[in-house]
Amino acid sequence: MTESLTVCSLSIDKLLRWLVGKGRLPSLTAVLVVTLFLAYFAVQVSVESNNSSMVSQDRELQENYDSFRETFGNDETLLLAITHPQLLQAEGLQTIDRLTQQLSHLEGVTRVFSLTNAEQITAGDFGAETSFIIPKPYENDQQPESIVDAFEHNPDLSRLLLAKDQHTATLIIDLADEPEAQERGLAAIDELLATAYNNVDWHLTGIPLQKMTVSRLIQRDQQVVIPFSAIVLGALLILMFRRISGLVLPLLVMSISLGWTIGIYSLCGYSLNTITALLPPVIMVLSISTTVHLYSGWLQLSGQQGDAKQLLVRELHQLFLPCLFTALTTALGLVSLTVSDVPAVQLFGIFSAIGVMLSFVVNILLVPTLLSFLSLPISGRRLYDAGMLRTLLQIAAKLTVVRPRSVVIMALILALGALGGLSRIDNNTDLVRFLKPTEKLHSDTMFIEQAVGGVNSLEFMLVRTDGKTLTHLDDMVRLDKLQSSVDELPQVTGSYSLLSLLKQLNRAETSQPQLTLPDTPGDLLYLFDLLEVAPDQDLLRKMISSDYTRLRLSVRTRAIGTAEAAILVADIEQLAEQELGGRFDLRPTGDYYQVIVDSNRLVSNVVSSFSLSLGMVLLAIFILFRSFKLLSMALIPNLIPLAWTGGLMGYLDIDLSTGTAMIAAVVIGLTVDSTIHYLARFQRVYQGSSKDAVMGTTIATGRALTVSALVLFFGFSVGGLSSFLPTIYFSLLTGVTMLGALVCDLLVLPASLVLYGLKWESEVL
Amino acid sequence: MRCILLFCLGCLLLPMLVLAKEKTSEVVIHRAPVPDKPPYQGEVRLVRRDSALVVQTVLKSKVMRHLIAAIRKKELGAWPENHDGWLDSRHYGDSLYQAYETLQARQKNSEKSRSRYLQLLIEFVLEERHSYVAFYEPTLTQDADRLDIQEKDLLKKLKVSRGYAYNNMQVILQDSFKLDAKAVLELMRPVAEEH
Repeated sequence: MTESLTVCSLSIDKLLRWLVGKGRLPSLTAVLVVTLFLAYFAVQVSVESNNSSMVSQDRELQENYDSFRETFGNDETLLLAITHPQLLQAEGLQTIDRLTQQLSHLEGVTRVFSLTNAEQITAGDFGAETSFIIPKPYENDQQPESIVDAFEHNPDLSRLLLAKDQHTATLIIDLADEPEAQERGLAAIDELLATAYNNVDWHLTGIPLQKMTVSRLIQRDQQVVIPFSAIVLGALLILMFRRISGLVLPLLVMSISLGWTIGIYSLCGYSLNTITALLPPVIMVLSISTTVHLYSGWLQLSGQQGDAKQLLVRELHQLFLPCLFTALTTALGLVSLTVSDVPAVQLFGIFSAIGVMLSFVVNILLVPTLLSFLSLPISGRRLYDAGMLRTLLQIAAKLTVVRPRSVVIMALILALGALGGLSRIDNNTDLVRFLKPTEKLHSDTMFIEQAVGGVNSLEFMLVRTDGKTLTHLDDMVRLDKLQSSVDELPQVTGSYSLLSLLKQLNRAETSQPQLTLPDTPGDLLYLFDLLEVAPDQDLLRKMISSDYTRLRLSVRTRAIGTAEAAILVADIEQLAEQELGGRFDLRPTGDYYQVIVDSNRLVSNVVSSFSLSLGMVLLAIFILFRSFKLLSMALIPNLIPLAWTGGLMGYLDIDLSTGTAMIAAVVIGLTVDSTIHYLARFQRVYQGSSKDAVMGTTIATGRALTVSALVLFFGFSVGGLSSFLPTIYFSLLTGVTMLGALVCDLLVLPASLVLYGLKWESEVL
Repeated sequence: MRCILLFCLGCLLLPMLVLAKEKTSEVVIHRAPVPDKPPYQGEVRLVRRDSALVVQTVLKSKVMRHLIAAIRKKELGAWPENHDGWLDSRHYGDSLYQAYETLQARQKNSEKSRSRYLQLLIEFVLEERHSYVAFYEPTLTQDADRLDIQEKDLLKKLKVSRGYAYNNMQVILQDSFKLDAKAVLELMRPVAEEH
């Protein structure tokens, strides 16, 4: 082992000497060529427009959804709410009618359903007839009461199309299946509403719009967050180092690392999504962290005598392994995200890990080479050379040496307090609530939710287990009972199926006032026969398959989160078991259901990825230090800040979502970096007294750790400018955790080392 | 004796020849399924039968009552009260409904048939001297969307005025063939001019 370490050390030494000597030009040229090549692909990276990477690739789930879409068509619709003070008067109805017709003619729109084209089935002279609920033309002397009566006569249509206050109407817009056609349709709708209806109070929502908004906001975030990250990091570097080289070198490494990572990402054919949109700021921050350590090492050469290149190689040699291992542990933490079922999270894990390792390579190739062109730094120019930071570090060091037990106990008490918050964390994902409340889509969705209710739609596919047709009276009676029970659930605003059509038809055929099912199987079969010859077969196919073996049940729910929705699905499934019995299979499916399932998996994903991350990081630490004692020491300052952050999330009611679920796995790989740097220094300076070693290490390494933590904190905080709340929470909480980790590394870790100090010489060193 | 035998043979052959002539003289000029989109409920044909012009509406449906209702509704719209032909139209409507009731009763009484389909053939016939509407229960064979009449059992025959028959044939063809009045006249002319 010692021999291999010696070989390794010699190789590092040889590499560094080459980089500051003969290899300067070749390495710079190689970096330039690779950068130009990958930058070409980086600038061409596209943005995902359909959010497909945000849903898991569960085979059964996907097959169910594919079968559902194949049978009933696209379940992604838009809801457009129009509020008019005199909605049911001629002027209001003319507006709705004009808009309905204009929307129907737009490219990418397949059907528009509104107050003015909604039809009811009534008893005519010669049997059931269809007629418009609101007959044309719309006259000023038309009685709104008669319209309200008509809608009261058709409660299902009323719930879908008219708000209770009768001032808001909902238009249901079906879009084409193809994403490109949907995009064109959405753009045309947006243009129509913005130009011809700018004086009308309208609100638009729906899954296709959510996807397009997310795509637009990702592009906006890229344009805002990346430059702002660069500015913040640049300002921080200037403040900390007060040197041009201290600004230029980290920013150069950061830009090249970012270009390489995004270039490879683009070259692999991937598009940026809500989660991988985080890659640029994360890579920028993480790549700077290594540069800060290397550059700080170079700054510590100030005032030393000798050959500048020799001194540089010696200093960087000492930092090489800690930097490699910190990069490795960070990458391992990120790689653990690949256990997630969500492709977006997997991609983020893989490419951020690649980015971290690439940044290490860029750092090693560029930093020694470029620093070799500079003369040794002159002392006294750094902010932290003396002054406030040094004083703070001295206070921290003294505290850990004098009162180590109190420090550890205080940290543990805080961690225990945080456990209370941890238990309050819910898993909850909601694409609309991912957006800031100021975003139009968010406010529009909430408006429609308030006015009409039922923005989300849970889809179910009902089949008989024997594969027979669902045309028996008993089938429909059971379904009717199920729907009645489902409608009573507090989160449900209404359930819709073929039943409402059958009941309307039966009412018209039998000229009875109530909406009921027919009395005999023969009468029901006749209703099915009538449906079979109905002119609007497309509408019928959205409710039942052409062979009558699969029936769609849509349950509209209030704007509840996925946690509550998952309970609702379970409740509906239980009701189905009671009301339908064993002869039926009610399969939940649809776009919204996929989000619910994925959200529920987050908890198990978090536990798996965190365990994997922790395991790999601990293994890396053990390989580096080869001591169980140091391993246990390293564990304390890394788990405590995570507990604090978890507690903070719970107390602030921040949900576990696709974004926040990544924090633990990412942060463990980052916080351990500071621990590695601290322990590596501690090992080097230990001369028999752990108190002395702690004093020296805290003051010397504490500088770089503080700068690095501040860079990470401010760097991640820039993510707070994102348009997505999970990204904002991820950024701010990761930043806060880094500060927590700094506190632990400078207080809890040294205190622990002091407490166990007496045993070091015999057991570790 | 030979003369008697020849006479008897002639008596036997003549009806057969007449029947053979009847069968071969029916020429379908144009046909279209109704409604124009599936699921089809029948077929409308323009037929030349000897010198007669015939518009056949062949219906095979599980919702015959609704088809009858739809036809009666169209009749009401096309032949308003106190206009020429409205009385013929009323009689036609009533006879149509009676024919439907007969078919329904036959289906109920038939223990063999479990099919929910009813079959009805309506013929508007314009002959040199007569014009009438005939209702039959046909025996049909189906090849894809095409219906072929194998046999037909007369249910009722209703004499109507020439004007009503001719105009209604025109309306039915226009509606079913999705053609304008001029195009329909072009189709009907070769036979109609003979009358």
